Amino acid sequence: MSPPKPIGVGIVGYGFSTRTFHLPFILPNPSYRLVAFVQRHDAATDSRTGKTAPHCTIDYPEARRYKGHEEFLEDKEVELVIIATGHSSHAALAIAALKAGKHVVVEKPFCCSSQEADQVIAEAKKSGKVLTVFQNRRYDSDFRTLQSLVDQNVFGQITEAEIHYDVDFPPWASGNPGPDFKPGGGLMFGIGCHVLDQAMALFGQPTSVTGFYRSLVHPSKSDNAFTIVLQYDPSGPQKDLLVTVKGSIVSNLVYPLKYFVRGFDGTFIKHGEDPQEPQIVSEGMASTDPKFGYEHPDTYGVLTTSKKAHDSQQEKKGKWVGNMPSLKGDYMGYYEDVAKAIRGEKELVVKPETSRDGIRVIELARESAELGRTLPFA
Amino acid sequence: MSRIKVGIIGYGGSAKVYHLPFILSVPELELHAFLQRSEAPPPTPGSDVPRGQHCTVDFPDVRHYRTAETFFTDEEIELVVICTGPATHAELALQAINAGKNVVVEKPFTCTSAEADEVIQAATRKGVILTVYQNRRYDSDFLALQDVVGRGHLGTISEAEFHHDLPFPAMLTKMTSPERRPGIGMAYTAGSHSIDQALALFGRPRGVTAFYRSLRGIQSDEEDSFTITLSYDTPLLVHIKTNAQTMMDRPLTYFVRGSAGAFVKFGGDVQIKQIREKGMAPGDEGFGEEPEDMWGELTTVERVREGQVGRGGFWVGKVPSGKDGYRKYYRDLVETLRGRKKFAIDPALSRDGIRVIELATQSAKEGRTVRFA
Repeated sequence: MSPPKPIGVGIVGYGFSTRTFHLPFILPNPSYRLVAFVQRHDAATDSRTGKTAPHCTIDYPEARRYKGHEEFLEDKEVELVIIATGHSSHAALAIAALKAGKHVVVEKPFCCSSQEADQVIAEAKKSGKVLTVFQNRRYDSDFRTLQSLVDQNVFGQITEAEIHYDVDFPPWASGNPGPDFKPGGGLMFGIGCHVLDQAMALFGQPTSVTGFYRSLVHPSKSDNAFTIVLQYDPSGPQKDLLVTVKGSIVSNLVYPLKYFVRGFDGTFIKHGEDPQEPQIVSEGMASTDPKFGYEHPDTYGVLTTSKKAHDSQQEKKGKWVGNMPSLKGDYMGYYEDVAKAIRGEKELVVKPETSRDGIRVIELARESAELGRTLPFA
Repeated sequence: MSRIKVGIIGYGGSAKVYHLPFILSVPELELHAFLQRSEAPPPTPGSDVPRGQHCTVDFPDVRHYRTAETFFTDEEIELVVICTGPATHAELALQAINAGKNVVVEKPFTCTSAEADEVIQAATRKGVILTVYQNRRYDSDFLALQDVVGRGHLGTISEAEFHHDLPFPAMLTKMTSPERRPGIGMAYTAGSHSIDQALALFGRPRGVTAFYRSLRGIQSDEEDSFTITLSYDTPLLVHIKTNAQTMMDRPLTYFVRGSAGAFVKFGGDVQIKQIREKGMAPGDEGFGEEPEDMWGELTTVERVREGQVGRGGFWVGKVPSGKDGYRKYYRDLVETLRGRKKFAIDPALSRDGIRVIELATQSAKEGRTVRFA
């Protein structure tokens, strides 16, 4: 039996995200064939520095280049559209692509409001095409490790989970945001959508949201530090669970705290980050390299349990303790799963409804912070 | 100069483990009397009453009182240490103050902030020294954190987490009441320490937000686990947490970060463990000293401290923890009683801690942030 025909891929936007998070995981995958890009501006050389900004026509001359999305969406060879533009255009482009009969991957944050997200989801249902969101951090090494521990019930009943995502004064979040908040802006939309997605992948939809946010450095209604507390159905098995999701531009740790999860039977605490982005950007490593996606042992998390749960553990004062080797970070897996969903071979892993719920949590977190009240998730 | 005579009220775990070893190790203090209202258990035929059960057995040479009235009329007592349960703290403190005694009250100071205000006023009017056993202000690692913050190593602090987690403590089995009893609940028991530490470093908050849990398997208003978030007029956010069902060899204790650096500490002060598990006493070699590999780690943008090395674009190094702290509590108190120094533990801050607990309880019930007032 011949292999299935590769899915034709078109990408809207040729920025850092496309080059770092998408192309390295699409190109080596025989399920896909790169067809076209939308890049609005022509290739340009900076007269001062002599440097040419990255351009799809230079890097991928064999692919088609469109200046606008309307013509792009008429290209019949484009079957899957990846939207890697600024946040404010996500919803409109996704709807246009779905209407044109394409499958769609939308970069995070899915949209700038839960209302927009609902509209996009409704359009996908009408079109019958696959709609998903690039919640790639479900495939992070450390998240995959945590998820496997949860799936193996290593913690017993989980009482608390802290999920942190701190970034060290990055250029994209350190400038003056101005006094106002723009929907889709701020750190909650920028990276909160990742950690909230992870929380929902592990624990499902919350029943209440309590939010705090701050603008560190410049006074603003936009946020660059947040704390969101999620609680769950008071009549269900997660009635005692407290999940805290946090992010800040102030980190100042070589290995930032990432996860601190505890239950009656065990505790897991982990510092550090998924290695895939730095491997691509700083080390120029190929996604197909056998070392790709593997963390340095310095960042393995510490797993403490009442019964032995992993070979890495040793007995210590009646408990089992060890550095838990992290699973491989696997952004290739994201696109493998998308291809399987498009082919109807496997249920879609990252459901747009979950991302929509994440945006709803962000909206409620802001409202909760302003009102000083815990709000029901609705 | 004559020694300061000490009278202790109560003879439970608090008196035996948290006070006596340290009082006995300070030469300027003299153990003079006990007030223990319960009788000594009768000796079983053919054997002595086991040690640790009654002060008359363990300290036969000091005075023993069975009633508060007789105890407080002993004019030789200069310092009273109240080691009873929280329900009697205010009442006994007022009696001691009225009798002209200086007073150390165990934590939690009182059950209500109104009681605390009353006790503080009485002490001020009478002119006696009143303080609270916020001994964890003298924890080895709190002293390190305080030093780091005091020297400005962290810059403008944006977040501080104070954890004091417990591994299924035996005391949970005694918390069987479905309704809240005065002064009982983990916010009073453990929170009175961690809240005090937060207030000592960062001052009074603007708002209090709390989440309470009963994880010990019964429905109860008395929490055994809590999260209390203090918000301030500045961007600072302080999280104070106790989870009573945490299994960890060295639990996370402090995680504080600011514009210039971050401080992370695992494990806690060792003094009580050394007394309980190793039979050590203050003055013994190594007493109150943390092993070096347990010291907290300071990461800063610029090099600010001896021993930091460059790593990952930062400067990283361990911060030596303080040592032998609880004995210092009593040594410092002697200096204050002799009129030489103001005592570091101001009961007004303990009163604020009780107020935070009251507001936290309200916040947890109502699901909202309550303004500190």
